[in-house]
Amino acid sequence: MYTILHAIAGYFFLVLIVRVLTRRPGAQLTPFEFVIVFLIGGVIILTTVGNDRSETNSVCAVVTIVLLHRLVSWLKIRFPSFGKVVDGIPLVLLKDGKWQTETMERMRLQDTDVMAAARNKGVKTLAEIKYAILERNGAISIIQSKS
Amino acid sequence: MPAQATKPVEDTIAKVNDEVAVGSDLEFQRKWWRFTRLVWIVFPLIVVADLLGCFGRGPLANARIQTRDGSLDVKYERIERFSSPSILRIQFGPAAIHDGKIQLWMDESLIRSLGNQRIIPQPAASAIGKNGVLYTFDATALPAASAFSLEPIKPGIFHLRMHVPGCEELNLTIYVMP
Repeated sequence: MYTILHAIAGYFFLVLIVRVLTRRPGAQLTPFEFVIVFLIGGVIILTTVGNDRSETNSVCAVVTIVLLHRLVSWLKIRFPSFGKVVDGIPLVLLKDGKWQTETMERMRLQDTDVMAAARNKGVKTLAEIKYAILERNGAISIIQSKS
Repeated sequence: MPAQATKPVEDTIAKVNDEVAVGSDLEFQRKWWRFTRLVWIVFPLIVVADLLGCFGRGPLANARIQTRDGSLDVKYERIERFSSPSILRIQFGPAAIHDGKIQLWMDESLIRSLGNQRIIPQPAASAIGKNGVLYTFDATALPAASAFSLEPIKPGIFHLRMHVPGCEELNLTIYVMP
């Protein structure tokens, strides 16, 4: 019983941990997906170093996490607000040639981060960017000005 | 083969400047930032509390209690952790020794909740009764002490009573963290 309770507590704790960590630019998994990676690793450690090293224990823990993941996936679709909490939302960093300074500061981003993403799209200067958007997975999308 | 169900595309994603569908929600994000500020205050407090022993295994978790008649002097962890080992040490006073023996009664929560694993030294005899166990140790001279190796089997708040027959009783409150 405690294994399942620990798995549930660990899952939601790790969702929180990964979500409160500010997104950094780059090709990353969404925080939601990171949870699975971290928690499976954690469960392996638990079953490795814990007192109960049985197959039953590890199977129960993994099944619990898989069911939780499925439940959370369903809740994200059923309740979009819940999805915002779990996955976050895209944030506009640059709009019509103006930095969205509040978002930039809160997300600890610099103009160089945006420019790095722009160069990947073949954009040479900031003036060519109409919108820069920080996606849920930490990547920065660039939309160029039409001119 | 039956056709797959379809539905028309609806433009439900919030737009920026009415032209780029981003789905951004700054009001929600501001609430989230307020929440994360709180989290970043709480997390260091958790670390400090843990260093102090508020969750066990630290200075605030260690406790000592004595009977007024001096028969028992107990050092223990008032905050323990589920399924983690700890030691409860008992120092016996002169009032505890009778005819080269020490008798110690401990209530059943020692085994039922706190998961007693081992007693050092092993008692010469033990007898169950009165919702507890009466241990008998051979003792030649002071100082005399024994240690109980605990490993709580469930989280919660537990009371552990103990006494030397004919002497004052001690009632320990032990918090077991999950």
